[in-house]
Amino acid sequence: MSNKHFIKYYPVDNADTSLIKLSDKATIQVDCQIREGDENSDGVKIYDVKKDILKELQKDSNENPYLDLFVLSHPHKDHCAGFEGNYYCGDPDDYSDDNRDNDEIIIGELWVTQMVFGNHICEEAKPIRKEAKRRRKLFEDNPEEADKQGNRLHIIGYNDNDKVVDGLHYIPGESIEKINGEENDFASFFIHAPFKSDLISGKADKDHNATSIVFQLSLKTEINGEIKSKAMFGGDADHYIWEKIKTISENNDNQKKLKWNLFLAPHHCSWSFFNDRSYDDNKEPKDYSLEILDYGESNAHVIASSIKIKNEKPNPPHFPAKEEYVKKVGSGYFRNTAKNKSEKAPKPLEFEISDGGTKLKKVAASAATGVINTPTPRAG
Amino acid sequence: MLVRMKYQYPIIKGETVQFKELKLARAKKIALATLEHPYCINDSICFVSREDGAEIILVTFDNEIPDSPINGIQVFEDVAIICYKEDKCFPEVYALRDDFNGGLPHTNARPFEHPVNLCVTEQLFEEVKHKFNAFEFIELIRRWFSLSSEGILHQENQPLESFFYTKGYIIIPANSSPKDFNFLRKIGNSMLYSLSKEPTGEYPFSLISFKADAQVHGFIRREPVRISDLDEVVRLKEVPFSEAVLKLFNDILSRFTASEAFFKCNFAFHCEIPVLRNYKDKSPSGLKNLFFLTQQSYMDIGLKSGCIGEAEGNYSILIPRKFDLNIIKDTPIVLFSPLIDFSPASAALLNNIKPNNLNLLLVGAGALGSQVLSVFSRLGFGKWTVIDHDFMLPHNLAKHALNRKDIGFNKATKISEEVNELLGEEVVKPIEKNFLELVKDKEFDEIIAKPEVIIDMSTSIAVARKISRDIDKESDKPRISAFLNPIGTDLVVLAEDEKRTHRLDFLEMQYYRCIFNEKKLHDHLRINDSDKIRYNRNSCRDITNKINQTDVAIHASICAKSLKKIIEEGNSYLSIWSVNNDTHEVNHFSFEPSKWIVKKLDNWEICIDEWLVQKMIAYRSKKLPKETGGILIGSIDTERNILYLIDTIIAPADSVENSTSFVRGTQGLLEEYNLYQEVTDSQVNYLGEWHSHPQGCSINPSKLDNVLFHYLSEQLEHQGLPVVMCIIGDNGFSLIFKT
Repeated sequence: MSNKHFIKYYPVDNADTSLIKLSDKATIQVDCQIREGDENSDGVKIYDVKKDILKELQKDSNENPYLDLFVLSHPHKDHCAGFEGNYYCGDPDDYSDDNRDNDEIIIGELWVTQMVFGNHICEEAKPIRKEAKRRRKLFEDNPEEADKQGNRLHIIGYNDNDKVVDGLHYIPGESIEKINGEENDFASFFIHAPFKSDLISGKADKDHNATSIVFQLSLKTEINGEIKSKAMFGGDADHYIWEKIKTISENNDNQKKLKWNLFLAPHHCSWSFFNDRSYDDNKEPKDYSLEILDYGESNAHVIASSIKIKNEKPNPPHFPAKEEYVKKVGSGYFRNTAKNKSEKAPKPLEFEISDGGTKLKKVAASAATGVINTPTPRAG
Repeated sequence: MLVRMKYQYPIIKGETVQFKELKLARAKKIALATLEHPYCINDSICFVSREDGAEIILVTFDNEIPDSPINGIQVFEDVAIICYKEDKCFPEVYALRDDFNGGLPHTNARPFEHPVNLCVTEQLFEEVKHKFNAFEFIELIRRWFSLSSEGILHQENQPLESFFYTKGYIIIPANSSPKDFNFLRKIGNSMLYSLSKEPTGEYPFSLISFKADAQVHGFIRREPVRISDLDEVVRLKEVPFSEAVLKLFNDILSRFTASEAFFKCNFAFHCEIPVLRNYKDKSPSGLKNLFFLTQQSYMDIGLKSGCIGEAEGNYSILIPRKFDLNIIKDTPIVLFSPLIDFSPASAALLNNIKPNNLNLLLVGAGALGSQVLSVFSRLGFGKWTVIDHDFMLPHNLAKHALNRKDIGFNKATKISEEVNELLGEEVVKPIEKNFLELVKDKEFDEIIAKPEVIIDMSTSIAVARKISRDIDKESDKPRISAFLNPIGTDLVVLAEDEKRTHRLDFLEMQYYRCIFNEKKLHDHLRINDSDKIRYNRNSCRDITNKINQTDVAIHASICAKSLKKIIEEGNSYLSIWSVNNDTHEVNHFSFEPSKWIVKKLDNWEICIDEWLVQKMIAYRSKKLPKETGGILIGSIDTERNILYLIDTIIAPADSVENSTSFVRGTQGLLEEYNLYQEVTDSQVNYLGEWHSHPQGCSINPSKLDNVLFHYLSEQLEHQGLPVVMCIIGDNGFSLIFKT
């Protein structure tokens, strides 16, 4: 029986929420948008992201759910909405019955950028800032305690003094195989960004998107085996960042770190990956952006985590961006989270990574299963 | 884009209709399922009504496939689902893409290469029609694409080729080739034909065999309807098939005789085609046999070609004319599929067991033996030698595997014939002899030495003892004994392990103790006179028991199942299965074979079950510092000078147990002993006494012990019975024995 991993991209409108679950049960979440309510403003049913994530998580010895790693690509609302109240903040030893009743998820290890410590962040990101600060202080005061589940922190990229602290920072060019304090047999992260130059205070505060964590996640299905799949995550990084990533990787003979089987279309399928916005003023996609797409393996998928892509405003998502992606991968391999299974009640796009490679799961449940799996309306 | 717009295949030609215009219930349900299905591309779906009333759903599937799909399956595949008015079969499913791979496993060959007909289910439509679910049918199609894209749709035990709508079957014997036969013989009214060397039966076919060039599997992509259709796929040394037929026909023209059946019968072709898995393979992975039947004889084709002439019913060769290639090419053919005949190998496969060709000896072909052998033959398990001297009598029919026609014949011979006929080859060899009377000669050595396992189903203790004790020089292979209790409700299986550590005679002895110690088995060997039938044939002992065939049949299956396991695993075994006549449940009693200690005394073998030694030791410990004891129970084989000690009835309540002596009492002892005898059908007897010595004393007999032993000898020897006394002490036990 081969090891199987999966990656889920949740339908969260113009936002990102992705969950990676490895065959050893380790879980990694990239960004979050957890919303209240039944429907969005377009009448599309809101998928219960929290419920699904909880289903996938392991529980610790106290029966509390935990993620091994949470990656906040950048502190924007559409990448951290609903963090507060759904993810536990504070000393893990203080996790209370109230937290448990609320199914608050303990984050084994947290990845953020220096930007999260800044003043100019959205309300939704502030609880993450508080938690990151707690963990950073713990790292400074009590490194042993800081290396325990629920306290681990890594800052991706340089700090505001262009420095790195050993054991605290991971910087572009590094490969990380450790997740939540344990060497992982199957997953490896290659950090592409954020670059030092983009984290310069002032410039960065103006453009958080440019400070997004960009990484390539490589997955193996056998210990010491070959890489079976590569997933590229880049938050809202724009074409300038991707150009830099491409140039630096190629200059360092690191082309393999640019390869992908899954590519999360940056900034919710925004034109900003291809050129400056607005689209009407910059209709030509940049060559380097197209060349980034050429690093896609055969039958690789592009995932647009956005509302349904229409040829109209508002955007993102940009219809021309979709067209560029489709030109590269074909319509069967461009997938929009808003359309999976149903446009009225979309379900997560789930990719399975096995010995055979990467496969989009397309499970259609029978009607009976659907009914059984759903609470019935109240009977009179 | 609507699928309809992309293709012009004749089978999907018709009038485009709206959903509400569909008339066939089946088509409507499938159409609705595609419209509702999340992975049927909604704006691709359209419907066609064909002239013949068939209705077609055209749809693009969004398939779940890996990033490196095999078999050329794509993420989007266009499909036609054709529903017929008659609704007698599953709707047909066609993959429409004009470069869709042909010849894939689980496709059905059609007279055209494209579109490709997919075989999405192995179920019979009439069996599932009542619960047909359109959604599930769509899922079957999606599953076909998904599994094919990973190369896992096709299972190891399924043929590689695409399937045809075969018009009939040719049965091929397991160990012969169709090349060895000249005719096909029709079987009954079916579309089954067997191979034959002579033209027998109604409408026989002349058979011509060709050995064709190797092909890569999947080479047949459409169903051939005339000889020329085979030219692409069947070549003989690179010569197209029709030309090879032409050459053969011309070559044998000079031999033509109108009266000869070979020339008069309609022709069938057999092609043996080596099949390669991949183009690069140098050696084939298998042979494919294809049969094509024509409705023309050699003579018919000769007449049409003008190389054979007819005048007033006389036929002659018209030299120098030859056969006409075009007439041969245009000859219609019908495809028949080969069916491998039932054989031990296919029997094993069909019964989902590993093939087994071990040589096995069966002693006894009575009710149980014949029925067990019958089960084994249908499993294809083993190569057998069966010994039995008995003849089939009318009353045997009630419980025997043989039939009325076998009455008066030797059971071993007839059951062998039956099994060999069933399996199409000799797997059973009969020996019409009484096993007990076999003389130790060369033939005996051969009978005994060859088998890997010797199985006794003779229901004769004498046979069981003989195979256990008297043929050790000839065979060191394990012995098994299986028999029914007198009323047939219970089955007993005693099996030696591979190394023969647990010998059959020891197992038999333990069996007696087990049925006494398990109260539920106390009636196991009991039989009332009313359960016997007495015959006035040869003697007053000529009786048989009223055993019910339902019990024999149940136990024959259990017996075969357990013997198979024992033979495969080589472990020792002591089991009893008992049918409850009220609930029809079968209770299983399994006992761990115990170890035996063997001592040679006075030219006798004294065998004592370690279980018994431990029982005595435990009882001594319980009573210390006092002495205790009891009577010894077991069995004597006077023919072989073996004494088996199996159990004890411990000191009755009125025994006198002191620290230096023990007087065994009598209270209730006889009743207990009688019960033992009753339960074991008198197979066990009183054999002597045992007592314990206090701590620190030797296990040698004391003066008092010698007096006791003398007393016992006196009491028993006048009946010719040996006597044994056992002393249990700190250092184990000692035995005093006298014959």
